[in-house]
Amino acid sequence: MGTMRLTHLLAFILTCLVSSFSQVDHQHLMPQTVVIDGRDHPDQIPDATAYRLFFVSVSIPQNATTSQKAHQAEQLSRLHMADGDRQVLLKTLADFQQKYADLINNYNSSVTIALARGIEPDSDGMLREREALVQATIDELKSSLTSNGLISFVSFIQSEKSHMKIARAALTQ
Amino acid sequence: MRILFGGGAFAILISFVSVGQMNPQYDTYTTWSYDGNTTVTATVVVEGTTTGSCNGIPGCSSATHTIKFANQIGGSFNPNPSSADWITGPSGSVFSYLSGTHTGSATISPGQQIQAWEGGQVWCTFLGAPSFYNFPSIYISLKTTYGQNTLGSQVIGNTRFCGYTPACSNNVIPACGNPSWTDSRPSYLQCTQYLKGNFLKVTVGGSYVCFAFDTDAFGPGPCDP
Repeated sequence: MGTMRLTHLLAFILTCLVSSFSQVDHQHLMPQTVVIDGRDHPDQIPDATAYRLFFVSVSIPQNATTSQKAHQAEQLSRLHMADGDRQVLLKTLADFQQKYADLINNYNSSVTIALARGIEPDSDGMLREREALVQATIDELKSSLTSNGLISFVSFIQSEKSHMKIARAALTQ
Repeated sequence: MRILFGGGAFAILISFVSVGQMNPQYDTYTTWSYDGNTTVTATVVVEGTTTGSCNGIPGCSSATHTIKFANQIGGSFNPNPSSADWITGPSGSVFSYLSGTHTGSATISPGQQIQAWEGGQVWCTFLGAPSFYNFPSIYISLKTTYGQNTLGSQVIGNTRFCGYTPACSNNVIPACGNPSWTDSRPSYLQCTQYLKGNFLKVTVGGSYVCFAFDTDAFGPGPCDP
């Protein structure tokens, strides 16, 4: 009886092995993508994402051209901030831009090394560090801006969510 | 022995059915600015990376992702974008973190409406054509609204914020600045009684946003509906 059961179990396992092999050989890989459009669902754009995209859009490099600086000024004029708050924002953006560029460069270098060694890059770790940097930048602004400046800044970010989209896909074997 | 064999077979089974899973996650943001004169500028950000594993997914480890920006603004609008309307941004392995920003500008005149096509996508050599985003047409125009300082002012630091409501001599409901808008100036300047609001109106789908660039006025004036 036990032998029969084990035989049946083994047959089942072998069948699964064959079918799995078949699936690996012929299965089509279909990505499942979810796109959240802030125009339709601004409430589903996370605050951290909105702040990050804004920081990136208005950040300029340390060696920015006159045109880049003028464009940044145009963009920031939409926040209707007092001069003091605007200077705080500019300084914080400059700090963010440098740290963000370093984070990306360091991570991408590690990706090259990891792939050459046949190991998986730590992309989850990268995303955690990114979120930590964004949060630190937000915290800096909250502690440095005036109350009116913070109100202007926060309300502006919320309104900009309608111009943002996030896409998340899953591609499985 | 048989149990161990069974256990071994289960181990093999598990290894054969272990799956690779890639999770691309990219975000995009498109915003607009106006220099108050004749130039309107779009700024597009696309960034993100892919988490997960290539384990068992053929071709995955050698695939690349490339950020591309749709760029049609001003000039003759082509309703059927070609490859020339795409600008290539950062590129790397699927697990690289890509961050790209593109700006496109055009000249605009009062009374003129220009059509634009601005946005960003991520192209994957593994999947071919992107499936993340599609772009609606964007309409940009300049709108004038005359306003009166009926809402007073507030000084914060070195800046004075003046509140205006529409003062339209042609008795229309203005396209922008309704029911009110705020003008900012150095705190040593008082609010002018009347203002001419030069707005950049950007319409995407069924919604729009107005960006104000103001000049002093002497009284009510014609507003653009």
